Amino acid sequence: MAMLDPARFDALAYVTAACPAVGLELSPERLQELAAAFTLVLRVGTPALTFDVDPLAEPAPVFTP
Amino acid sequence: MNLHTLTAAALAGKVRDRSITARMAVEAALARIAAHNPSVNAFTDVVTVRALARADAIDAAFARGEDPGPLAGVPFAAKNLFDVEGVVTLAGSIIERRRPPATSDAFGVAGLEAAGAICVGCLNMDEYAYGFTTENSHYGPCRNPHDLTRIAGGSSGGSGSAVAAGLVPITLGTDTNGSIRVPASLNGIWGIKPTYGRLSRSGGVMFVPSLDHVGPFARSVADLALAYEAMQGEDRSDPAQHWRGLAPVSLHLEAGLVGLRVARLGGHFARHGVAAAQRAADTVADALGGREHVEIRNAAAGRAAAFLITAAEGGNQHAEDLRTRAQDFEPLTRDRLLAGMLIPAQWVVHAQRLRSQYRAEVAALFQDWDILVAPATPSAATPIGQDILEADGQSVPLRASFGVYTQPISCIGLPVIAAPVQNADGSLPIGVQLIGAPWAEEKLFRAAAHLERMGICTAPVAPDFR
Repeated sequence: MAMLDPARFDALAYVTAACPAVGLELSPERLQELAAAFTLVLRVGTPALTFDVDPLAEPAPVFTP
Repeated sequence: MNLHTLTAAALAGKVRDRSITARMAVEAALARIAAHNPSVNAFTDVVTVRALARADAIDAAFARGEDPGPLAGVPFAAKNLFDVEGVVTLAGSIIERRRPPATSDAFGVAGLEAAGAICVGCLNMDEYAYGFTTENSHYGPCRNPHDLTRIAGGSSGGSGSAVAAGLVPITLGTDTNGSIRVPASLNGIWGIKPTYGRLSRSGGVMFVPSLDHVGPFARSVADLALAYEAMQGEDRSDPAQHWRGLAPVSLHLEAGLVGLRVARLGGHFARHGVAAAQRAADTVADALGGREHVEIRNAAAGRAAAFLITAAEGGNQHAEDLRTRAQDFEPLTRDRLLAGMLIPAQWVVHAQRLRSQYRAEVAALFQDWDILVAPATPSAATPIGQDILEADGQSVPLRASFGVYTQPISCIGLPVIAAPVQNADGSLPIGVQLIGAPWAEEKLFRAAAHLERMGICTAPVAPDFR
């Protein structure tokens, strides 16, 4: 099952809820702008987020190519 | 004597045979920078006193009968995220400007100087290396010597522009998602992004630890090889370095193509770009005997994984400044970094797992092939300020799209040489990626040298700067 359905993702609701978790305090106008930026992240990232990954694949970020 | 059109190797030869001094070589470069940098805006700092002192030391070493190294007296410059002792490491930002000057040189800068080269300054870039265009609003846009109204690429835009304009024969850059290969392509010069972990990244403001590479630019393959060799060395202060011993390449440049199996990448790499980019890749593939087309499955997913990892690690790297002085960030960078701070951990770990799986899939291709050929950029240099790229029947956001062919490769750390094809789109150059198996840089240098000998890929100083 895919991680998310990009078409049903509410970027403004997400960034509004997530900002306090990382110490960001933004005005409603800035939240709108950030939601647009997050929507671009989602758009470009969708081919990865909808990709079925082997659960045994190694997640360590440092590797020997 | 026109020193600015000489290769680094030829210039070092003149210093070595004492037909010129190292001081003369450095003074010529400084004069050239003073005269032409206002046109291209490649340099953000020039270290005159340091460079002349270093030149005098090189000349004194020759006078004592010592050998200062293969790059003796050759001026070079480094992207301004590399530490250069005595200079504030800007990383393209105004935030870093408040920091004290660097107290030592970055590993790569020190390596070049140990080979006799002389650092003359620091180069313009996208803020914190997060971009492909070097339209830096703090320090001004870097301009392309082939057409001053166009971008020099990024994020190592100053590194590409300075070499193409003949200001210095060698520069250093970094490549997280394409930041060496994109400016090499748009400026029509050679660049190498080595295997992830080959060269130490110590000393400077890096961007994304999972993906950052360092490497040189040059106008000849021999110069690229000399610089790449000079940057090698074990450095335990970079935890991502996988030291495997020195890997010289200069001695292989005449080896030719015997035994090299070359293929042209299709699929993802045959879409998304203008016809001129595809033609450039076809020309290079044909010259290398690469007539068969192969596909990297899941390249789009790999690119997307790199994008997510980049945003998340970049956002984390600058989180404190984003919380407290977001207004001081470059507008083109700020909201992407803020969005990166908010990416769920689930997405990032998923992207890292995807990268691992994708890496294994691509590794299998190298059982049959030694070099894979693909365009480096989807188009030639675009006008400064342009937002949309029209390519392959689509309109896409330009600044995010210049990595469409580079990100799927750097995502998994493969070594790449960007080979320049001049006049690929009218008078503009476009680069072509020669992609190798991990740790197989020597094969890429052999192919690059062959292309240079055939005249398929050359990198003269841009016509208006000769």
